[in-house]
Amino acid sequence: MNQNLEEEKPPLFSTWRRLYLAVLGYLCVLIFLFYAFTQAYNFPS
Amino acid sequence: MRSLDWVVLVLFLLWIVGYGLYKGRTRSNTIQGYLLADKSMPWWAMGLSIMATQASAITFIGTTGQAYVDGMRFLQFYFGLPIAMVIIAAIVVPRFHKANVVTAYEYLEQRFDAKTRLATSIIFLIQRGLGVGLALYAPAVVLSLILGWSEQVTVIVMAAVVIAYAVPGGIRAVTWTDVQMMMLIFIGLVVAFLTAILLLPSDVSVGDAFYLAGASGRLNAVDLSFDLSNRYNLWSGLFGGMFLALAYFGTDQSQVQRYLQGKSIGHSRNSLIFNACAKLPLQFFILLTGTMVFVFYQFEQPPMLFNQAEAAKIERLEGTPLGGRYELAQEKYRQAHQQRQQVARRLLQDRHSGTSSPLGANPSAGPQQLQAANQAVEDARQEGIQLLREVNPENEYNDTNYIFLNFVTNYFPVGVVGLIIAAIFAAAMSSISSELNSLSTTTVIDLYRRHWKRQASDAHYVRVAKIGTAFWGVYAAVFASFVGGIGSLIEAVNSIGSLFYGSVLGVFVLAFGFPRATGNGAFIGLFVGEIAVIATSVFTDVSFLWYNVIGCVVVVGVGMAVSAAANRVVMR
Repeated sequence: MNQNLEEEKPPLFSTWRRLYLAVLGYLCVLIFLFYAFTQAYNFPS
Repeated sequence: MRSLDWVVLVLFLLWIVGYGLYKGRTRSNTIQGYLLADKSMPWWAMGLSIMATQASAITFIGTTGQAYVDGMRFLQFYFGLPIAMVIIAAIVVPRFHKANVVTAYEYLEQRFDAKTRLATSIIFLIQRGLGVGLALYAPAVVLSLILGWSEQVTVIVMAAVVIAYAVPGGIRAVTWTDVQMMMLIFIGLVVAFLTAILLLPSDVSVGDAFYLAGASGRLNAVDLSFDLSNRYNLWSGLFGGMFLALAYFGTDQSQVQRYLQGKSIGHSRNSLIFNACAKLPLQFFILLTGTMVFVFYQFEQPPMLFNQAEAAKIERLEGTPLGGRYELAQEKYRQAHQQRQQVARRLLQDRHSGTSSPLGANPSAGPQQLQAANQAVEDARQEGIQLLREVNPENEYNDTNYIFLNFVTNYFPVGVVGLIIAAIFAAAMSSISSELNSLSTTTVIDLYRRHWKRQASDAHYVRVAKIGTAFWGVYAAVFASFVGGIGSLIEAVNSIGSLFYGSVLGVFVLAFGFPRATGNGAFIGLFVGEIAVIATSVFTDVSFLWYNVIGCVVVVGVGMAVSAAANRVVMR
């Protein structure tokens, strides 16, 4: 039964590995956007 | 609080207790049913429960206040979380499911030995026991301020409400009420943010608000500098935050139990991936709300002391020399605020007319003036705080946790105040109920069933688990009654966690990643790792997020050295 459970596909992307890579890519995009946000409103003190 | 606010709050509390009792009405006579909902939970319910467990009242009260005082740099604390979620989903979840365990520490006995399981479960009970007390204290601060109750009475009321549904309903009641409360938290956050925006002066746009927040150094979401003593930067967030999240979500029973209720490995994984995707935007949004409160107070004079109970103590000294000095400090504070308001207005006029721009020749002149004006306001405020310390030298005054509440209760419309307070309650109760549930689970499964009464019926263990939940609820209430005076609660909770998390994580890393690691190696490694973390916290100024890395690395290093030595002896 456990074997079957592990073979269950993720809701997005065809494999878990691809889903994990997508999450890590999403994190990179978020950090970049937050950095751009910081820079857009950054004024030297 | 006006009548309508009371109605909203009371209806919410009644709804949650009623809903919890309704969802937990299935008579859970098996320990799997009471503690793991017979592994029947859908992924989205577990995902929301995971978020609700992590998002305590401190999230509302402390994080918004922290953004007001310190800007958005706290966001970086969560940068390592999605990486940790991926690692746990890929490695930890399948192992826990296949081992068919109820607690994370049960797995350690299967992999190592009984003493390692006992040591880690006791560490969890100490650490989470402290955490649940703080999680209960935070909303007590809210209520006592707004309702005029004592903190003790407030704590008792809060604990009673949680116990009312968590004890009879078990994890089903806890998880399904978490779902409801997380939805209310989302609604409360959106309403709070929009109300803060709407309360800005009519000639100040959202873009202007961002501009002023940025000019005041409050939109500092990412800091690339590497400094071990700097609490929040990209690197401490990515590495320290990842280790903390690995420890919290991978080894802390209060979270492990959320995703062990899954129908399958896939459902458990989905719940973690959901959290990985939603947490950072949510946290960004909460911090942004705090910065909008800061901008609002550029145009409206904030109280010099946000803790009104403490302010009242010194205001009662009117007519005395100290009271006179306090009045002078207040006048100075008022003038500093007016000057800051003028600078902010001028800065916006320049922005609208295009004479000052981030891309202009001297883009920093206006923002620097605003920063100087902010500093003048803060200096004047510190004079007031200093006078408060003269009245009560033992009081380490810190009003970060009062800022957001003060704003909500003084400026939000009737009904919305009740909604926000209900959302703060929801945040608190969702964390507390999960924590009580997990504390009881570890007490029953890892201590009582393992060391006291090994052969008993499931009904007996369910009964003991219910008593355990009630016991931990009462304990949390007693602890919370004496915890007042701790500074910024959010950092206190995280600091306490970081003293233990790294070492416990190290034991699980040995279990999952090092087949040659032995029980003795893990146990001795845990002991040495804990000493290393405590020594680091006492003798260095290394930021607490790095304790997790240090603890984990020391445990793995010592654990492997001891295991290798033992293996060599056996081979001879």
